[in-house]
Amino acid sequence: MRLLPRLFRRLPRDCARVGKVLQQYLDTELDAATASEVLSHLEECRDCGLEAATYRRIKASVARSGVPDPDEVANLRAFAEELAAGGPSESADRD
Amino acid sequence: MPPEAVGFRKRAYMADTPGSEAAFRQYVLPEVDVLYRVGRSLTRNHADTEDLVQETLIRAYRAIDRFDGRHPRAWLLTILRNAQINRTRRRRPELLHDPDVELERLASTSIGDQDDPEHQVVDPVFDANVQAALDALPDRFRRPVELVDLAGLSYQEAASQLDVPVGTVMSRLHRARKRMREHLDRAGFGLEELD
Repeated sequence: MRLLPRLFRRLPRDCARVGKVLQQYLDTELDAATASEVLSHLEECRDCGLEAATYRRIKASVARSGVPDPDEVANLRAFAEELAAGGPSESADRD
Repeated sequence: MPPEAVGFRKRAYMADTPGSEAAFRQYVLPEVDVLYRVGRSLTRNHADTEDLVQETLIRAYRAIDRFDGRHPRAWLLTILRNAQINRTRRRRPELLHDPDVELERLASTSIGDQDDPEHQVVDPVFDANVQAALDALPDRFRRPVELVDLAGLSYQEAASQLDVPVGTVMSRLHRARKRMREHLDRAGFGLEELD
């Protein structure tokens, strides 16, 4: 049973309302209830669903571009571990 | 390598109190990945990122005794931002966005190590166009996208990092993504092609 009113149905004005919060939805910045209503609309409305899929794919691509090189992050973790242990050893000195 | 980190000697950065090591491990070590991602969005190349994050870690280590334990990520990102401001002042700004370095970064980008299934469908041509669209944005629009999508920050964290209100982050994100989408549309990646 749905306890919440249907905020975003398949009406043009609902598409406009979803459009206003779509970015927040994709960034998981909406409260759970509103996010659930947006999701319902996206599943029912092809245009808005495509819109969301487009932006989701762009977001994923940007995220991929920032995937750190595991070796570089490992080096930084090792550096941090040395600091935590009381400071880097002289062998860690670099130019 | 930042001057502060050159020529340091063993225990040169040792904090004073017995709880310092535990605090550093608790608050700083879990954030190394985020520091790297944000650092890379700032410097846009691997070598500078490593230097910037190392400098940030050293500054955090020196200051850990004065940290109250609240919002460690925000605290660390503030340190990182200040470190970057100092670095930028020391350098010629045009070196920060050397196109050759940028191309090298693009070519050497590591992919395919994400849990999210969306990340497993990789189209290098699409990704290159997204990168071009991102690079074409003015800094004030590009930075929110990188902080949220690339570094995984919340709107509030991004706002703190950029020193602007959350509403500004939201509006810039919206406009930035719209521009990127228009760029992709012009490159032939319209809605139907993405379906």
